[in-house]
Amino acid sequence: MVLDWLSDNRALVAAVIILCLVGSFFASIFYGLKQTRLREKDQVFGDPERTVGGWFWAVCGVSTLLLVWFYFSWGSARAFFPQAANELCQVAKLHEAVSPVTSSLAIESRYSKSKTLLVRNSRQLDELQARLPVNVFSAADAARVTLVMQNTQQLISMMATPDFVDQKTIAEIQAIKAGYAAITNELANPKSGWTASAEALAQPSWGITEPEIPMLPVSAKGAMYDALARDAAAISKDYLKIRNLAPSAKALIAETKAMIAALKKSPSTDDGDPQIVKERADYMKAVDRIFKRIDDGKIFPAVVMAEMQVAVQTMLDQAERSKGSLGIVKMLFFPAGDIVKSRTQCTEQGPGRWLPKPTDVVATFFALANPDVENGGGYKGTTLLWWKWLPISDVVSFVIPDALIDLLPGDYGRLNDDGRFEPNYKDWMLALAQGDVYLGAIPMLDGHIWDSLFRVLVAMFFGVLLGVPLGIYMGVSRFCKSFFDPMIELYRPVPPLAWAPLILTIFGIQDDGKIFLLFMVAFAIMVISARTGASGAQLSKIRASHSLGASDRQILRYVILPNALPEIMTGIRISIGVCWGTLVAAEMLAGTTGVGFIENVARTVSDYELIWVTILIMGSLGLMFDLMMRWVIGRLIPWRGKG
Amino acid sequence: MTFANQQTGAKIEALKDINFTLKKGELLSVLGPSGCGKTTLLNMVAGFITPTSGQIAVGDRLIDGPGADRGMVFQQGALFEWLTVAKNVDFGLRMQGVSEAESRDQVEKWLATVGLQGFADTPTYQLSGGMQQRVALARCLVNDPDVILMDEPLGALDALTREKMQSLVLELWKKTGKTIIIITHSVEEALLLGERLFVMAPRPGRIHKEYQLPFAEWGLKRSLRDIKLEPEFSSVREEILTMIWNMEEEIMGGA
Repeated sequence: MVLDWLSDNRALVAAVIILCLVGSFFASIFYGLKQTRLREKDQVFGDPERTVGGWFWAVCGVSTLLLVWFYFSWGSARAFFPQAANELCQVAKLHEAVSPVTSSLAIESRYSKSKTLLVRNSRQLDELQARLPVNVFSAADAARVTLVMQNTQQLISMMATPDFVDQKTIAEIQAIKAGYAAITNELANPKSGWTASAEALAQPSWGITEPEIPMLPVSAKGAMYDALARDAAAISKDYLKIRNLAPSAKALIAETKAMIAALKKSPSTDDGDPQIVKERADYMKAVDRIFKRIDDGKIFPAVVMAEMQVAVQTMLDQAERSKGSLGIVKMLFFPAGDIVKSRTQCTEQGPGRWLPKPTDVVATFFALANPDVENGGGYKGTTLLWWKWLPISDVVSFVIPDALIDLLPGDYGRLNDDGRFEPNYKDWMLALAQGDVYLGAIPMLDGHIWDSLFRVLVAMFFGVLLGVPLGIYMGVSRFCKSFFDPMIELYRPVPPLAWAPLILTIFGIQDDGKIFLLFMVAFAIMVISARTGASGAQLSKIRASHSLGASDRQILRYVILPNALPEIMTGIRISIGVCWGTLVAAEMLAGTTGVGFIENVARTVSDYELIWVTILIMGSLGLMFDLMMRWVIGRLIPWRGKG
Repeated sequence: MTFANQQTGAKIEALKDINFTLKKGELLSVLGPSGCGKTTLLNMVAGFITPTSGQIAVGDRLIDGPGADRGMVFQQGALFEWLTVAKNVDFGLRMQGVSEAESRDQVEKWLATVGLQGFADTPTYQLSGGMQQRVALARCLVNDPDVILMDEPLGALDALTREKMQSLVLELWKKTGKTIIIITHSVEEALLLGERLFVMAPRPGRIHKEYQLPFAEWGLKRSLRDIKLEPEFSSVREEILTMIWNMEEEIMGGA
């Protein structure tokens, strides 16, 4: 209930949070400066003691980070101007409505469409004419083809000539112009009485549901833009119908069209050489393509369009001016992007799109964290982090391999003479090893995070268990060093992801493959660090222990191992980090659970909130691990750097 | 006894024609310019290096590797910094399987002897250089070795601490009656801490001159500073200094 309320009132929640952050930002600066003044004289510059403490600067840093995040994700815009996006959406509707017109005029582009059409098609005609294949056409046909091209060129010239435009077209353009003038007027002097419909007010607010921004106008200003956008759309429709075709042009078009049809139909040579037939068809197709681009009559003389262009530009300028306070809000609170309308929805374009608002990320996280999988919690049928009853038999069957039971004395039971099967003790043991005996259940962690964590922990466990002894032996034994060095050094530099396809093929896409991949990573790092630690033992310490009567084995256990401990701990710290990185990549390649899997699915559907949630989960888990390791290192090897 | 040490690759005679016998309880100091093979000699006695030819024996047992019968004290203590003082001291006993309860009294006794009562549970990395060296002495003594080998044990200490530690070494020598070999590069220290003194010469390392000195014996009763003021002490010191100077010049000239 509380979560639902929080989720529905994200704007309000965000506003409160932002104010708190601003408060803590300034408070921490104030407190920090005061503390700095108090301490300044104590230590000289460069003394590491000067970096000790300073939690208030951490508060300041975190506040800054969150504020920047709120700002660039447009979270502060939504918190303090919850209607702004809706109003900008209405403005965007107007822009979308005039876009067919603006795109044909020299507005928001350097040249008008008429100019582009004219220049490009004239050039293509020239090129075509220059490579007229003489051997393909008979002399008469060649002359006719040339004429077709000349006609096309003439058509282009006619359309671009102001005198040639007939009165009907001019009148149509005037009507369009007047339509825009009316919209401009309405924008400049809005009539009162624009209101939001009840339906509009019932819409969920910005950011609550999937089509992020409510479409229907919720404010008077928005309603005006919405209505005018519809007018503008009607005008655009009229505009698209206008053709610059005077009667003489129509005659020329008809004539040329007939000639093209005739040329396409009758081949001049009857020998039917397929090469020639094809070449001729290709050439005629090219000629026809250019002609068809022209006979639309969409080329207008610049002079004729000039007034209309001014009218459109004026309207757009007025639309910008009429935004008023909305314009300022847009400029200040919607950095580096805009609300754009396309087809059926308004979307955030820019950081508002790919940088989700912090509150949305938290809401997404709580939706994920909800353990009630049946009712929309979790992700793809798995919780994020929860617990379940794990049958003990599953653990037993995982630990005891079936083959071990085969080694027990005696035989498995057989069918007895009555045709019944009476299992003996060995059958029971096998059933146990196969997990068929119910032994009760224990609570066990479950979910995507746990799955990822489990893979890393198991891989780390085996990596340390096998890597540390091998590394230490490599540090003390010439045989071990030289025998294993080539193997490990050969596979270690290969990026784990390069191994991934192979490993996943061999071990399957379940946990085994990923764990093995991570194990490879952890193992190599642990071997290297344990080896460095072991071979870094001071000779005098080793000699001292010899003199104290310690055996080789004792020296290994009581001198070399503790001596290598700092390096080993550093190795663990590094390999946990690398394992995380590899794990996410491995989960992206294959699998149905894990944090990397969530991100991979989120990526394919462009769910940016989810992507950020997974990123933050991974970041926090990594941070947690590292803090834990630092603490363990502090407790376990207090002598580090002091020996 | 004759040793020559074979380095990998080129054959360098580190030591040549060295023959000596120490009586039980004798205190020998070995002095010489750097590079004359003092430390090599000690490492051979300790068993860390095997001589290419020749033999070393403790009592009537030939040495073939390091052992608990020859305790060693290093210049930098070589303590196990991950262990407490007590754990460092009883390291040898633990390795031989003596239970902690049994070794506790021993550890306490030796810590008291070297002047470290109450430091048993202190981590060694928190100790000063002089105290670390005391721990190293205690660690060596608790093992009850036949011979104690000291490789410039006081070389890294400041002058004041050094003097105190010299007295401590003499005191321990008297108290335990151990045979001790001390390597040093300080002439004064060699004179004070040597019943017998070998002055070694380099290339190849050999015993250049041998002295029998009364100062260690004196030092058990008198303050070391007084002894240093004795004219006899000064004259021997000057003699040896001149000898070593000449050796150094020979090396420089020959090089």
